Amino acid sequence: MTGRDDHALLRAHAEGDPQAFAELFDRHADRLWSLALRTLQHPQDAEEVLQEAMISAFRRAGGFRGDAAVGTWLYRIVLNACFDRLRRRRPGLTAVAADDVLDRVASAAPGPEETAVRRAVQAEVEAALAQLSADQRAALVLVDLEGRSIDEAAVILGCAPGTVKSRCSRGRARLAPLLRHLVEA
Amino acid sequence: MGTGTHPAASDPVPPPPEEAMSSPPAEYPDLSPEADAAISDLLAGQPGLPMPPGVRDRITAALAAEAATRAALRSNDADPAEPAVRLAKSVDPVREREDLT
Repeated sequence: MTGRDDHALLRAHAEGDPQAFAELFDRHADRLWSLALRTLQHPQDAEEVLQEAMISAFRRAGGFRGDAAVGTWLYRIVLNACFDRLRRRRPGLTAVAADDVLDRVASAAPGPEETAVRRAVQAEVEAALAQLSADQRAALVLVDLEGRSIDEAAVILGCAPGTVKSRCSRGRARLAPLLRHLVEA
Repeated sequence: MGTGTHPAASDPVPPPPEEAMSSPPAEYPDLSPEADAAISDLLAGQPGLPMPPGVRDRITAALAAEAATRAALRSNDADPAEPAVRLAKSVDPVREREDLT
């Protein structure tokens, strides 16, 4: 790691540094994976889409204008690739079980009992998210799970901030009956 | 009474705007601000999904291959056998070929 910020890494990549883009990817990998996996609800699709999106970003980096954060630019490329995949997805392909998704979660909890409780809660949350439309899910992943601002989510999603707010509030309304017992607990 | 201004039954109906299409059905009423915030907080408390090492390795390898390809292309572009200063073209070769036909 070189300590260079995202813009410096992207500039170095555009100037021919062979390591710079890999370092940039490594820095954002987990968040981009969460976004792709939660949007597509399918690990194999998420890996394929993320790889295609990173190759695309690698090639297009020279055209990055620098008027947004590099992370925002990467998120947008990945999310557009996810929506392309969802449009082309063959009928009958179903989302994987939440437990399968959670096999990819590192167990950071201190004890096995607490790990099991956290895992159960997260499995319910992931399963509930899978019930949403892709648009609502992507908005909630960006705003609530990733902590992005409404304005930044709007840039990533390519829509108006009001649309992001609307998708979030409708998504939460749809999640409420599925998750109310977790909120009230 | 004439009905000439009314659309015929077979006229296409314009699609509703996106927001109308994605409106929640009646069983999903708007939440109170408190309930909305509670769901938001629950989601915010969820951990991320770390990328599995195998996935990271495969994507990193694909990026390394892409970097090697780019380096090879740049190396070809900088071929020392090529003249450092290109000669000015006096005739557009494409136009020249077209003129001959």
